[in-house]
Amino acid sequence: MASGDQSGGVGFVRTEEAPLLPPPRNQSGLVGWLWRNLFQSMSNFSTPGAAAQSGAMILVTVSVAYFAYVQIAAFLGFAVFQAVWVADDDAKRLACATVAQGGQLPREWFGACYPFVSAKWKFLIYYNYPPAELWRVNVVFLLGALGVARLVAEAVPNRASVGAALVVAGVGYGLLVQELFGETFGVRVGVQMLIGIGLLYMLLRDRDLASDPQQKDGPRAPLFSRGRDQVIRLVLMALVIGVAVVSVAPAFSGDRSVLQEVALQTPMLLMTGALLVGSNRVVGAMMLTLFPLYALILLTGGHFETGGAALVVWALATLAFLAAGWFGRRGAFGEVGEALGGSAWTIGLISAALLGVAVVLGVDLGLDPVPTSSWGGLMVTLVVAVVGIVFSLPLGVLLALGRRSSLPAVRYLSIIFIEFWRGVPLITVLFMSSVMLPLFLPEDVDFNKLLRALIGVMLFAAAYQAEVVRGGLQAIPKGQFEGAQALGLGYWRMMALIVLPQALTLVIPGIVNTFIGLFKDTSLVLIISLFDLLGAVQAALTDSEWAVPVQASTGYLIAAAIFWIFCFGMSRYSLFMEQKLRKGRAR
Amino acid sequence: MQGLSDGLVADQSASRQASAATDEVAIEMIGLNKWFGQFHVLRDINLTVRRGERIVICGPSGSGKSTLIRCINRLEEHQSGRIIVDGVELEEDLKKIDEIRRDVGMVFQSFNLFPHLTILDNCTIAQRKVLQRPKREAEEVAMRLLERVKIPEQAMKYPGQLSGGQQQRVAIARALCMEPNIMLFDEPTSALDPEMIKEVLDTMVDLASTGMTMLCVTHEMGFAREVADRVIFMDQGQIMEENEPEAFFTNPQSDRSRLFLSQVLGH
Repeated sequence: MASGDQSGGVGFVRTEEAPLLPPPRNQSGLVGWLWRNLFQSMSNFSTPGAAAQSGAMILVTVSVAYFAYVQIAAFLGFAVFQAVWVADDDAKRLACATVAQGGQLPREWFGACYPFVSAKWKFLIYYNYPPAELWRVNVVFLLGALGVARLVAEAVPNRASVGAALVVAGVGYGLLVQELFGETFGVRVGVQMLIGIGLLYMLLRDRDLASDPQQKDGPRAPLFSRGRDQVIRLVLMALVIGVAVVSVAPAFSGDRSVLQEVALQTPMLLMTGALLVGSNRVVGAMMLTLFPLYALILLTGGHFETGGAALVVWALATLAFLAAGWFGRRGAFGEVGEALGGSAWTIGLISAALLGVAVVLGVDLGLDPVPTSSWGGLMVTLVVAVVGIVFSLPLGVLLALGRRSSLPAVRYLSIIFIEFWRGVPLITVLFMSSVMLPLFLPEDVDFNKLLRALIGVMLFAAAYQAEVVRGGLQAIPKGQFEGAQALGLGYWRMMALIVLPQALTLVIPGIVNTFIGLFKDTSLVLIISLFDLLGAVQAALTDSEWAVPVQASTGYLIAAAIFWIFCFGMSRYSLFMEQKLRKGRAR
Repeated sequence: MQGLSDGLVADQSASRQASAATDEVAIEMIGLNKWFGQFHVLRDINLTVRRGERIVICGPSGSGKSTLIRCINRLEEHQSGRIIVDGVELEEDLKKIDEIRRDVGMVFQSFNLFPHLTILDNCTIAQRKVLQRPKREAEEVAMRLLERVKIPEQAMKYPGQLSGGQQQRVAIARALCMEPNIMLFDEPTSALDPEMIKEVLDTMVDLASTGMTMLCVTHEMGFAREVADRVIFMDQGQIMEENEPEAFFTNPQSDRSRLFLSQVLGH
């Protein structure tokens, strides 16, 4: 349309700008909030009808406030104000008994009995893990917690402060461990953190900082300023060598040979170093490869023998695949070879990696084996939850992609898998894995009970995760797929780089919901007599030395508090991630 | 369509770009047919595009013009007939599809930028993952092309922070980063506010002057007059008329194209 002719006197032309005014007073601030949310609905008395409504509102508000007060006061009374916090070591149940029960406390007393918890806390966390070997669990806890902390505390503005905080935490933990268990090992952990800083600072820092994409966003304080680098390097190197000698020295008096000690400590050293100065990518890779392997060896004791003949056959098969892939891709076997060469090469590489793992697991590191039957408590809760969480998401993503695949076989297999696992209760799954599965296996095959439960929980959670992820995939507009295809990105790259990052961001609430559900569902392993945190609490309740009426309430309060801390942490983290990732959707 | 008729009037006096077409064949379609279910959406399409040629495809909505150019890089699959792009015949083989997609850039009506990546990453991701270029080189290429579409200062922003016209220029730069021999434009200005159409058209005119082989589905008749070597008019899945722009606009041959032109240019 051609531009219209607006002539004559009917038009309007603004000659001065309309002023920008602040919002009305009762719209903002605390007073405004209180007014709008609490008092506005009960302040209208202009007509009889409105007055009646306001009166009803006042009544409802007052009664809700009263009930809330009663509940909260009762809870705080039990958990905090009336609770017994400390008692003599040998007082046992008498510390929390009323006069009628033979103790000192008044007749109507009702409060938590925390001496019970402090007497049992080792049992609640480690269950029957041999006391002399607890350091192994502690190292796994420590490395895991620091790794998660590093990955969670992404985009911190200042690496030095994080490093310093971690050193303080590490040394503090080391001292705590030594205080509690009287082991020199705790000190060694702290010392090794220092070694780690030195080694990885030297190996990683320059390259890592230079390639860190976050560097583009603005200058960050480097760990050390550039001018002093050379001196610091020399000092660190001297420190590293000196401390390394000191730290390995105790091994000579122990049960392990020097080689075993070195093999045991090197991964710890590398990981603590990576935790302190590695980029998120390094830490992430470490937490997904080295850490689980190391944790498995430490917690179980390692030394899983795969028969020598089996290893040889496996190695030969791996070599055959690698060779077929290598020559096939170079056209040695014509077109068929070229087409299959890539797959053969991939299979060969995966097989080689698994072979490496099998060999590493077979090495005798001089650790006493700890059978999973003596695992329990918070440790089992965390092992089941973490393994379930870590494996269920990738598996769920694959299933979701499979369910939307254009290949009918893949699609139907995914649908069958998802619908099967979603259709059975977790208790059934666990029960089947524990009771039914051994019936189908040959008699001499001993399949660890914890491992069976782990697999069951993992597959169960993966089916739920798949449907959550599928929801995200369906929300991605077709144009995103086409844009990626038009640029020549193949299926996997399109999914990994373009579609999944957007889809997973969309469904973070659903994913974390499933994680939280999974975390709490771990208590169901109780029915196949694995004792998770809740199971350990229940087992502790049978101790007659602590038999008082508040014993059970206290135990369950503690179990609930621990579960709540973990779940609330996940929930907050998901909110944080949502906000962080929303930047791409600005506007 | 205000810009359209204005542009046409103004451009009648403007000098047309000289044709860069050569004798080499870039795209060849022979007896192409496609159905969506029972609906016969492309009917016996025969089209040869020479290297360096600029073609504008127009026609009423639902006439199959978008489907036609989407067949060229296999965003749509044809059921019979042949498509040969730079000597490679499009068939089931995934490798050949990849080869062709690397050779053919595409710009969409809805931009299809990746909202979770910065403008710079939008432009480098395919270079790095498909062409295996090192990061630094990919970024240099991307910045050069962002400068060419005149928005280098937006490189660190996210697509959601840009206006529609800017987003479409980024989309053009993103496609050009892959150094394609052929560019497909699928109604690149249809989703834009009138104020932003010109900046995108200017970019396309600029691109045409470099001798790029271009196929544009568009209703911008001013653009067609200025740069097209050939205008193709489609209706109901068939090519109804094919002519030089001057002849097509001043003297359309079929009744259907006369009606279309009178409706597009009539107000």
